[in-house]
Amino acid sequence: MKGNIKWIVCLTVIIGLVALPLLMETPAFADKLSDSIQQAVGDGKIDKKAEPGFLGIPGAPGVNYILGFLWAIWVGWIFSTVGAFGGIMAGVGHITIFGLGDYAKDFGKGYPLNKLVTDSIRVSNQWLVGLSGLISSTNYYRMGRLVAPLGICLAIGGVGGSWLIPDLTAGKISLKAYIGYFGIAVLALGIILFRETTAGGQAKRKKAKEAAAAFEKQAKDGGDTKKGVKVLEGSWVMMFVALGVVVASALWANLAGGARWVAYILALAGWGLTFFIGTIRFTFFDVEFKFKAFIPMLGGIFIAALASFLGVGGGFLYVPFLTSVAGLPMFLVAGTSGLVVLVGMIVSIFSYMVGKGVPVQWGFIGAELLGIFVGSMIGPRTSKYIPDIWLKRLFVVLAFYVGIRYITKGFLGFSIVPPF
Amino acid sequence: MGFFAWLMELVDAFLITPYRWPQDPVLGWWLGTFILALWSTILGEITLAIAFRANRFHVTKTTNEMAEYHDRSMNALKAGNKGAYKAINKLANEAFGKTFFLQIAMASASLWPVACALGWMQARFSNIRFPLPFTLPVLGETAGYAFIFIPLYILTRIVFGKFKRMIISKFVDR
Repeated sequence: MKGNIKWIVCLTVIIGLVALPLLMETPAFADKLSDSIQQAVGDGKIDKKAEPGFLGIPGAPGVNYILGFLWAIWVGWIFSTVGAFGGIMAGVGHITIFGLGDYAKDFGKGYPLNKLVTDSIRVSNQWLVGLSGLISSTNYYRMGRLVAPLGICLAIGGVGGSWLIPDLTAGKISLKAYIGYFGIAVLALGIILFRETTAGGQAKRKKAKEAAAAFEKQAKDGGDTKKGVKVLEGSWVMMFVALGVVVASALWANLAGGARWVAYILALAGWGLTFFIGTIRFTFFDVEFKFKAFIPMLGGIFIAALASFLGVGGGFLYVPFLTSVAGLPMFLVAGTSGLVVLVGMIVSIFSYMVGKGVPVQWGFIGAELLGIFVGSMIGPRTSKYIPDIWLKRLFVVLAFYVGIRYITKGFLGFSIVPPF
Repeated sequence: MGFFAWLMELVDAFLITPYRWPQDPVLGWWLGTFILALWSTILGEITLAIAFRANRFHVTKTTNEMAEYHDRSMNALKAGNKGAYKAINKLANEAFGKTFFLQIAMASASLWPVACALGWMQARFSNIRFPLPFTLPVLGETAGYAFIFIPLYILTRIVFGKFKRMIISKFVDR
């Protein structure tokens, strides 16, 4: 088991080492950006002599590093107090606060510069999430919390989903529609949060706490967090073959010039092979668990597709999926989901930056990371003064506001909540 | 000149200096980029140390809460109480979410200098392609600044980590 985990970590590191440097700089980078600028100049959409702004585009909104830093403090504060909503807020910053959304929209649907700015916003989000995944999965590997079969099955779905969706939507979806879909995701999160704050949700929570208290003594007597995972049944060969096939599909899609149908067939073949892995049985804390390999694979496809499409990590979806749908203990999915987020983000960023030649503004990401760090220092110091339930209520209001605003702006063309 | 522009100019002058030390521009490129990677590593390590030091109490508290709920959920499962297991597992999941995102936010402490360094390189070297001794698919025979910087940063970070552990075991553990 230990050997298998090492294999997975080695594989991830190799993918990272090869993919990260490759995706940084592509021949398409300068060409695509300058081509799009040239076209916009030719069409009279931008003034060539105007002051360069975002990505060096003449006349684009200047990226205000101080504003980015301050907004990221807010994002870091959310990360360190309530968690998942931070990724959404990072997206809100990129779309609205920095003025990039309205700027891209001005070019009109389907215009190359609109697509480029939209994709750049997505990739900027993904960089923030991917870097976080890198650190957290390393930490969980050290803690021995990576479950190899679960990670592989999720990655089989995730790797395919995270290239297929960008492939089908990048450049084909305008910022306007992207904002609308982003709004739906925010609203869905708001509804989930709202359910937790209702009387029913609170009663459930109280009951769960009572149950936890009932098992406290046994925890003190018998709790031993050092008991690891022992795999009893599961076809490793088939798992690695299926993973290899979907990774090949992603590489084909990103690197090969033509015959994209090969990539589609490889992805489908990889997913199909997962059905032959059968049931995976393992023990954890001397308790036996089993799951059909295709369940996390299907979850992986859906989550990675959604996450990649929205430019978020999907960690906030992996964990509830595996604990609620697959019924696995939280410790089994914690580290594993971090690893899957990382692999998914590597492939997705690779798809955008190498496959589509989408650039990002590095200095801005640096300022944001610094802001998130500062926010994470403030969060723990303030959260003790604000009860959990009120924090949740605050984010329910925010989620409803942001969700409704983005949905109406994206699909109707105007916001029904201020500013209109 | 505003404070921000003045600061940027100062940083730029500081970072570009090692690139100009050797007469040979290729040697200068490698030396300057290595020193940049070293600065990114050191700065990241310092901020990460500050983050963990400052948040030690909170991280320990949330991690303990998560572990405690996890142990209890496993006990409920062992006792055959599936309903209690699911309910407690949900609490454990919630506690995990908090720890997970807090650590993610703190992790940005070690990586912000890398993005800033890439931002500086983007401004300085984005129009320059560096020749490779071999041909790579997609890239061809040349590569951009990041292709050199990222592997060099990873290498520097690994060596720095080993060096740090060596120093600690030699002087601190005694």
